[in-house]
Amino acid sequence: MSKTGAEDFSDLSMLELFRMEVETQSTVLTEGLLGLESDVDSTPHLEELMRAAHSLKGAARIVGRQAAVRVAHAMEDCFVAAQEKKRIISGDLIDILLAGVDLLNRMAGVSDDTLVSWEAGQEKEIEAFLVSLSSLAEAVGRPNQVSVDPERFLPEEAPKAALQIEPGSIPEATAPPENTVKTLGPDRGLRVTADNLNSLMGLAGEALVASRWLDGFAKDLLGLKRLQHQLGQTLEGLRDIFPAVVSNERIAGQLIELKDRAASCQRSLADRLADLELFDRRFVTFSGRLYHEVLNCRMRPFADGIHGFRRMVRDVAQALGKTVQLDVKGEATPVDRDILERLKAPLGHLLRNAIDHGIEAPNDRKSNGKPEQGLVQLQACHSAGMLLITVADDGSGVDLEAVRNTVVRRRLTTLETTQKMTDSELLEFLFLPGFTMKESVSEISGRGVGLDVVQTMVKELGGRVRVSTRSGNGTRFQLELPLTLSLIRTLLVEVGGEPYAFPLARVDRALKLPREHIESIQGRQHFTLHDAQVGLVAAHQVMDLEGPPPAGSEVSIVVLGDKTARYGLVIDRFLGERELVVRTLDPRLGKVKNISSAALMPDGSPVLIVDVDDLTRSIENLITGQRLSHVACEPSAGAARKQKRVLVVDDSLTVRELERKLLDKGGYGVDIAVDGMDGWNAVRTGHYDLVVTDVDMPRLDGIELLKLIRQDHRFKALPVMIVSYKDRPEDRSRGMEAGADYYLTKASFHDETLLRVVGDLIGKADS
Amino acid sequence: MLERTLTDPRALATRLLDREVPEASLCESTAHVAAKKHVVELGTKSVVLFRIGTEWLALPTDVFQEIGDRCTVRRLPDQRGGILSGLVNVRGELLLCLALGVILGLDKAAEGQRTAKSSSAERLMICKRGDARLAFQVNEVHGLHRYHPRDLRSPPATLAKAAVGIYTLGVVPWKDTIVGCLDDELLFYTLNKGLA
Repeated sequence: MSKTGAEDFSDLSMLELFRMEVETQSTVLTEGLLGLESDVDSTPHLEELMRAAHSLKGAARIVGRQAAVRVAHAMEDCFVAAQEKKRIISGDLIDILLAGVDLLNRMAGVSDDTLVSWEAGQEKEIEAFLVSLSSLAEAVGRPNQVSVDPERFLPEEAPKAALQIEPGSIPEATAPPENTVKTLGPDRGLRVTADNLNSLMGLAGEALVASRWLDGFAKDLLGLKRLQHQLGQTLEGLRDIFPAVVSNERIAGQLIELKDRAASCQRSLADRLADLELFDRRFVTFSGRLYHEVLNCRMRPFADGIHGFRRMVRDVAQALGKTVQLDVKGEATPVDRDILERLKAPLGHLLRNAIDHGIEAPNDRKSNGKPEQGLVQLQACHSAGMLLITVADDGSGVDLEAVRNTVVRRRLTTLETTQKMTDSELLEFLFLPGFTMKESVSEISGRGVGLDVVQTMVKELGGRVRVSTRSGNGTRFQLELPLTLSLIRTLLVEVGGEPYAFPLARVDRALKLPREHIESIQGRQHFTLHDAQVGLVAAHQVMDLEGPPPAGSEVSIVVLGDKTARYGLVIDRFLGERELVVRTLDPRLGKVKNISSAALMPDGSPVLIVDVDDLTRSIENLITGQRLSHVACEPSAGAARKQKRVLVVDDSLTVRELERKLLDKGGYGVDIAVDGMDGWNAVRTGHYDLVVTDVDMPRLDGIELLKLIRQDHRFKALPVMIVSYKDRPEDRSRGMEAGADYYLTKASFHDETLLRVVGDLIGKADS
Repeated sequence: MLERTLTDPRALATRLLDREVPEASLCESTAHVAAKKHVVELGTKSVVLFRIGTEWLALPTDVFQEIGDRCTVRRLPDQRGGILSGLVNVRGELLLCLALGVILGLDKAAEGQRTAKSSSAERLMICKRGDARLAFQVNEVHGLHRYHPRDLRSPPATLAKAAVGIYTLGVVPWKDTIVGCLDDELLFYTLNKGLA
């Protein structure tokens, strides 16, 4: 609803504006009242409620709705009184106030024409509301003795009430209040599957790409217009060259007509071009907005992800005998729904930690000159294209000395080393799995499983955690996360004629280096960056691309890695920086080496997004020479081709695996198929020396498979062995008749028999 | 011209129906009745004909989702033994594009021959079988064709020996050439296996 501020309201009537205001403010009122019911601290809610009621009163006065003014005014008075601690708003009073919100909504729904009669009819209800509000006000302290029936004000009654008052009126007059009531309410969400949303995003992205194409097309047309103009000029020239000819009436007439036509062509073309440009602009804006709107669909306000934290903080604090207030800031900050979902667990950990480890016991706080109530802040905001989430407490802070001792006691490092470490380096130990400062394991924290979970989760999301602490003044955890998992800023480079995208967050720096600055030690190239040696690797080589490495006096380098290991990747050229919408690769591909995902370029062509971690590993392997052993592997793969290959077809996983292991141990190459059809597919596409098949299988049974094999002239000679539980003679003969070379019953199924038979049929594995 | 006396509709109708049939119309109708009837046979199969290199091939129509224009194929580092050409963008969705020619063992040189004309005929076929949605680049797509399974002949010996033979159910005559009808079940089995 905060969105409405961006829209154009100039076309709306005052009444419509009033309705929108009622819609917005009643949401605030409803939420505030519910907040009063659940939260201990009522001050911020009362403030909000009072303001909402006050705004409504003002708005109602502007449109001349006296009844609404009265209702809003009474509510405002009630909130003010509560602020001054003259009344307590709870239980029944909240019910009545909620009914008042509904009443206001219905008032807003009534059109001006029917207002007088409506108000007249509603007078009783309005009076009843005002009376019950004031009667409860008098009954402070003994609300149970006052019997007020809040049901009377529930919205269900609205249409009925309206009908009673205007029995003879046309139904349209009563329709607006009904509609308004229906569309109100905080939850207007729809369930959309992720697939729907993804394909919607794909189409919106495509529309964006298509819209950009138009611009180029318009420029081409501009060229055509120029040509057309030149044509006109050439015609003019023709006239000047042959003045004598022009004196000929017929030719002159033709020339004039020609000129006119050329001019009208020119005009028409210019008009069309202007139209096209207009359309282009509209289309570009439209598709851009569509795209961002779809992207926004993935965003939820931060508040949505932290339901229950207030309650949790209260419960945890109570269990520990502390009083803690949770202060949430930036509830409206939009967060990608995937990130929000996965943040719940780590944030819960951090909050529990803050209360248990951070906030001191009330007595300690008092003696340290702090308020008894501890404060835990949870804040979400956007900063520099990142989502920052901070969990801070005003407790005692992390005792660095204790961390140092624990580190040494747990023999993670030596005392000398810890003494050389900076505070932030020491704090890093807190994220180690199983690292805890607590002496005892409690229900709340202390098992040492919290912070490493936080860090793992944050890393998975492509972010990082920072921790800082001040002794006596609290600890602060800051999560730095990408705004969305679907949009990343990338550095586009070209390698081997193909574009690749590096996530900007993972690029240390990008630079162009004169070739003479590259040094070489023992055949390895490197250059100096800030007094440090950075090894150089050709991207062609790491990514297994053909083509010559880039030539030229300058080399373009992308520096990757961290302080411990930095590498310079030599690429062909930089293409620039671009925001890309991340698409996952087809899951059938599994992990593609050095690549994490893909995206679409503005021209609609796909681009690959580099997996920097994977690439760094590839570089390390390349440098340490593992590639050589990789190459050396090739001949043995060739030798494997000569190995005898057996296809095992069985629908039972156990039997299949048993047979596979036996044959594998016997030195045969084994492939498996899960049923007859699968087996038939495999027989036709692979080269096998033997097929071992079960009989009873879904889709296509063993006998049918055998028949298919025997019918095909290519496999007439392929040995087939049946392995079955069926050991009756007729089963056996059925198999042999179909063309099996051997029939083995599973009862007599042990390694020697199977291997011996296979050996008899196709010879030893190595022969 | 109509006579005034003949304004009675029934008389008019009789006159209309009893009129002489024009010679040309009679000939036309005779020819029509005499012509051999084109019987739509039951049990025919609908396939899409396409060309890779010099080979005309066919896949069942029901595996096709759409046929689009040729577009940029982004090469992946891992080509899965050459069968994977790369990624293509189909209406904002990234699909895997497979080299059908490589899978079928067709002559690579023939596939590579491109003239300006043939380049404009190139198409991207988007097929779906089961859950697998894949794109193939082909040199040309002719369109739909129906054949009766009884017209299916076994592939010529030369074809049967090549990889393409494995995937061919048989060949059907079309125009002055033959078309290899591919076994979609086996083909997609191999593709899915090859990708995994």
